[in-house]
Amino acid sequence: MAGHAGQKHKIRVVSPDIGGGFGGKVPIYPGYVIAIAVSFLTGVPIKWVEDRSENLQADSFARDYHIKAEIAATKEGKIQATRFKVLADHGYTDASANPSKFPTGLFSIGTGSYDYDTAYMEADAVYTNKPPGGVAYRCSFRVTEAVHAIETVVDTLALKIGKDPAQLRFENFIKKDQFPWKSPTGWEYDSGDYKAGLEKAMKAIDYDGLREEQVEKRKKGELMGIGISTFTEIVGAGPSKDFDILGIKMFDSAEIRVHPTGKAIARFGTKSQGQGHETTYAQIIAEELGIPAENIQVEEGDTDTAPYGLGTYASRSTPTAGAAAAMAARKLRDKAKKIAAYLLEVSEDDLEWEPGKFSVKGAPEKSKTIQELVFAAYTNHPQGMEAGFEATHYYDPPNLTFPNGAYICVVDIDSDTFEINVRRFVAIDDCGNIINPMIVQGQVHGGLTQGIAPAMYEELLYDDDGNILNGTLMDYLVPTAVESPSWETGHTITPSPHHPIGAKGVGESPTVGAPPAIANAICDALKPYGITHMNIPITPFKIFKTLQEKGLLDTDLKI
Amino acid sequence: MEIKIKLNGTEMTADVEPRTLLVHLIREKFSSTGTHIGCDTSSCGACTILIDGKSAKSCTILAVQVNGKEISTVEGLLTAEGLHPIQEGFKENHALHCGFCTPGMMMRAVELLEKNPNPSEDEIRWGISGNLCRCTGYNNIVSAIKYASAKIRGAELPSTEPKFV
Amino acid sequence: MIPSSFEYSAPSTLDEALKMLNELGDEAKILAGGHSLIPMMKLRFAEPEHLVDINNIPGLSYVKEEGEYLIIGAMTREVELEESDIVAAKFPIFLDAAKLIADPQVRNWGTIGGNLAHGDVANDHPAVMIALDAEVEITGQNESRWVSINEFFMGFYTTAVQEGEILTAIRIPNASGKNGNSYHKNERKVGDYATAGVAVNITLDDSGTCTAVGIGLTNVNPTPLKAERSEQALIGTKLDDAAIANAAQYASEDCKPSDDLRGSVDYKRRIVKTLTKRMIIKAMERAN
Repeated sequence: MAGHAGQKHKIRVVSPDIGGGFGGKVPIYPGYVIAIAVSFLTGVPIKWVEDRSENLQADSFARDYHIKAEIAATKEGKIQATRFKVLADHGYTDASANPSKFPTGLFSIGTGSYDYDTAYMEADAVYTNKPPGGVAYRCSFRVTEAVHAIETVVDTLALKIGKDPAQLRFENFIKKDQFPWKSPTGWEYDSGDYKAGLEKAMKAIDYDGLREEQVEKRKKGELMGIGISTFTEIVGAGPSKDFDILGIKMFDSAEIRVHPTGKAIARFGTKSQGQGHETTYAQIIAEELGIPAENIQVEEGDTDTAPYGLGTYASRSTPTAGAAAAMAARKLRDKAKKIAAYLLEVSEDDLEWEPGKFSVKGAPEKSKTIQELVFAAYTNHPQGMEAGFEATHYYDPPNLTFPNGAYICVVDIDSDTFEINVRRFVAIDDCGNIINPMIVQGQVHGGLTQGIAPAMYEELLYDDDGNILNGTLMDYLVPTAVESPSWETGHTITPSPHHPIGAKGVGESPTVGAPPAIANAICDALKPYGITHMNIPITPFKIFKTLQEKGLLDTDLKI
Repeated sequence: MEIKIKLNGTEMTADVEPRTLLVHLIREKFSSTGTHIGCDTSSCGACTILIDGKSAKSCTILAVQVNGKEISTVEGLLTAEGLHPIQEGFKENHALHCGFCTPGMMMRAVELLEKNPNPSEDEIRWGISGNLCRCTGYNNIVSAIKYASAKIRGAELPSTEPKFV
Repeated sequence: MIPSSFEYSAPSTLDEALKMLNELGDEAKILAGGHSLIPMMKLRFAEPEHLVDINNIPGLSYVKEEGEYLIIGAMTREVELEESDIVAAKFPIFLDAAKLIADPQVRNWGTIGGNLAHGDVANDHPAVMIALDAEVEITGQNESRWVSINEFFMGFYTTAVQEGEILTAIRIPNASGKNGNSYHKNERKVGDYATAGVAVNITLDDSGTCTAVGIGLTNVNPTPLKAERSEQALIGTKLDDAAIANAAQYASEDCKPSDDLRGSVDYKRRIVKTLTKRMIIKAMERAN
C-alpha cells in the first residue's frame, strides 16, 4: 500500500517463526491484500486466518503438468534424443515467483543425467478457472516435472527393450570426467559422479538380491517391483545474467557484525521455514572465522534489519545466502589479518591462518586469536582503518549448482486389492560438501515423504463444474507415519567447483527424485501385465482401472 | 457458560459460548498458543492435548465438555527440572523442522509412552498415525520417541548421530 | 470453523437426559463422543438447536460378561474395547476394527454406541455388530427394549432410535462351539473411512462343520449390509475352498456400492470379494 504511494521505506514486515513453506507461501494471496486494505479503512489491526478447506480450495497449486514424453534410442538402449510436450494448467493466474526469463521455469533441465545431444521441449500454458497455479512446490521452478518425465521415460525404454534399468542408466550417464558438462538445452552442469551414486544405492539395497527375489516372486504370481531414479537437480538461482524476478537480480545476501566480545550477529535476506538456517549459517561462519557457532546469532525475517534478499525457495538458501555468509566472513578474515599484522608487527604475508587465529609463520607462539583481533578492531586498530568488525556481501552466483541423487525403491503390490506397500527406499544424495549432516538428512527424509505423496496419494480433484471434490484433509490424503517407510539415506560428495564452500542445495532433491522411483517400481511390479507407464498419483484403484480397461484383471500372471 | 478447568496444574475459569471449541478456549482465552490448529477436521493432530491424561484433538471437543477436567498442553511439559524427556528426544534427534506439528506430536507421544513404555517402531508409527508432519518424513520423530522411551525407563540412551547407508 | 449457536445441557442421570430429550423433541441432538457430530456441526451440515451431552451420566461405560452375553455400555470408548481382556480373548474382531478406526486420539473419545447410533454406513461397528448378531438396547422415558442389529439401521443416517430415546447398551451372544471372528477394511490411508470392509463371525462344531455364521459389510450399500446369501453358502459346510469362493462371490454381488473418490462399483465389489474370502479364512483359523 505505502509502497504504491512511494513510501516503501515506511513499511516493515516482520516474519516470526512460520510453519513450513514448500512453495505454497511464495504467492501473494488476496487475503493478505484485503486484510491490509481493511486495516487501513477501519484503522484497527486486522488478522487474516485461513482455514484448511480454504487453503485447499483457494491457495495456489503446483504440478498440473500434462506431459507427453518421447525418447529415441538405439536397439541397445543408447539414448539419442528426447522430446517433451507439456500442457500446463496455471489456474486463473500464475502464482509462481518464476525467474522472468524462463516461462516454464527450469523445465529445460529435462535431459537429466544422461549423455546425449538432441532434445526438444515445448510447453503450452493455459489459464483455467482453478486457483492460481504454477507454484513450484518444493521444486526449483518445474524441475520435479522435468525429472519425472525423463526418469520415467528412461524406465519405459528399459522395459520396452528388456534391459535392466540400472544397466541402461550406467550406459547412458554423463561421466565424472565430462564435467563441467554442457547440456543440450544450454545449462552447464557443475559436477557429478552419477555412477558412484547409483553403485552405492544398489549395494545398500542389495539390488542383485532383490532382482533374484523378484524372479521367484513372479513365478508365484506375486507383484514386486524395483524402481530407480537417478536425477539431476538444478538449484541456487541464480546468476544475474540469467535470473531476475521482475528485473531484480536473484542474488542473496549476508551481513555479519562481530561485537567486541567476539560474539556475532548475522543477518540474511533469506528466511528459514524450518530448514535450520540458524544452525547452517552459524556453522559456515564458524568454519570461516573460527568463532564458535553457538556465539553466532542468526537473524532473518525483519525488513528493517535484514540485508536485501530474494528469500528462501527453490533450494537456494545455502547456494546463495550460504555463499554470501562465507564471502562476508572472508572479508572479515581479511580485516582480521590486517589487524593481526599490525599487532604482531609483521607483514600480512608472514601470517598464516588456522581456524580461530593468525600466527606468524615459523613462530607459532606469536599469534592472535580471532577474539583478540575483533576486540582490537574496536580498541586498538591500525591508523586509517575503519573501526568495527562487520561486513556485508551480496552473492551473485557464477552458475547454478546441480545436486543429484540415486534413489531405489522396492514395492509389493497385493494382486487382489492392488494395495501398494513401499517396502524399502534407499536415497543416496550428492549435494556437494555437507555443512550439517543431520540437517541435510532431515531435509531428505521430509522431502521423500513429500515425494511419496504425489506419487501415491495427493491430488486435488475437481468435478466438471470446477468444484473441488476433496477440500479437506479427510480426502486430500497427506501421508502419515504409517504410509511413510523408514527412509534409508546416504550420500556421495562431489563438491561444486564454483561455490565458495563447495556446497549445493538439497532441500528439494528428495521431492524431485522420489516420485519417479516409486512410479518406476510400481510399473516394474506390473511388468507381467505389460504395463510400461502410469500417470501419478498411482493408487490401488487406478491400477484396477488400468487393468480393467485393458481386460487384464485376473489374468494368470505366473511367469 | 461459566466453566472451570485445570490447565497445566493451574485452576482457570472462563465464560464461554457452548459452541466454543476447546482449542479456541486454550489459544484465545488462555493464550496458550502452543496448541495449533492445522486442519479443522480432526485429521492432522496439531491441536492434540491431554484431557485427564488422555490425548484428544481439541478442535473436535467443545470447551463446555471439559468443565471440571484437567487439561495438559505443550506449555506444561517444561518443568523446573528442565525439558520433558519427549522434548529432549525431539531436540536431540532433530525431530522438528518448522515445529508446527511438534506440540501435538509430543502430547500424543506422552500418552503413547504412558501406556506403552517401550514401543516398537511399528507401534510408534501407528501410535502417531493421527498426527501429520509435513517436514520430517517421520524417521526422526520415531527416533525421538524411542529416545524418550529409553530416558523415561532409565535405559541406555540410543545414539542421536544420523545413520547413513 | 465454528459450529452455529446452540444450547447445551449435560444431565447427570439417564432419567434427566430422557426427560430433556422428550421435552426438546427434534430440536435436540445427543452428544456422545462427538467425533462424527462436531465435525458435521463445524461444517454446518448439522445445526442442532440443543445438544444433550450424555458424557456425565455414570454407568453407561462398561464391558462385561453376563449370562450368555457380552454386554457393552453405549458410552464405552473405542480405546476401552481395545484394552479389554475379555474382548482380546473372545472378540479379536473388535481389535481388528479398532486399529483401523480413525486414530488413537479419536478412539480415546469415540464411543461404540455413538458409532452405531450415528447410522453412518461408513462406520465400522455396524458391520461388526451384524456379524456378531448383536442386539441394541434402546431406552425411552417409559421403557427400554432390545432391538436386533438387523432391524436397527433404517436408512441414510437413520436408526431405530426414536425421538426421546437413547441407545444405552449392546449385547452380543456368546457362541457355542469353536468360534472365530475377524474384520478388515480397505482404506486409502490409515484413518480413512472404508473403501469396503468385511466382518466375519464363524462357529464350528467339533467336526469342523460351520454351524453359525455372520457376515457384515461396511460402506458398500445404502445401509450396513448383512450378507445373507454368503452366510447361507457357508452354513453346514466344512468351509472348503468352493464354499468360501461362493460366499465371497455372493457378497460381491449382493452389495450395492456407489462410485466415489474411493473407487468404482466394480472395484469395491472386488474388494468385498477379496476381503470376504480373507476374513472367512482368518475367522476360521481363529476358531481352530
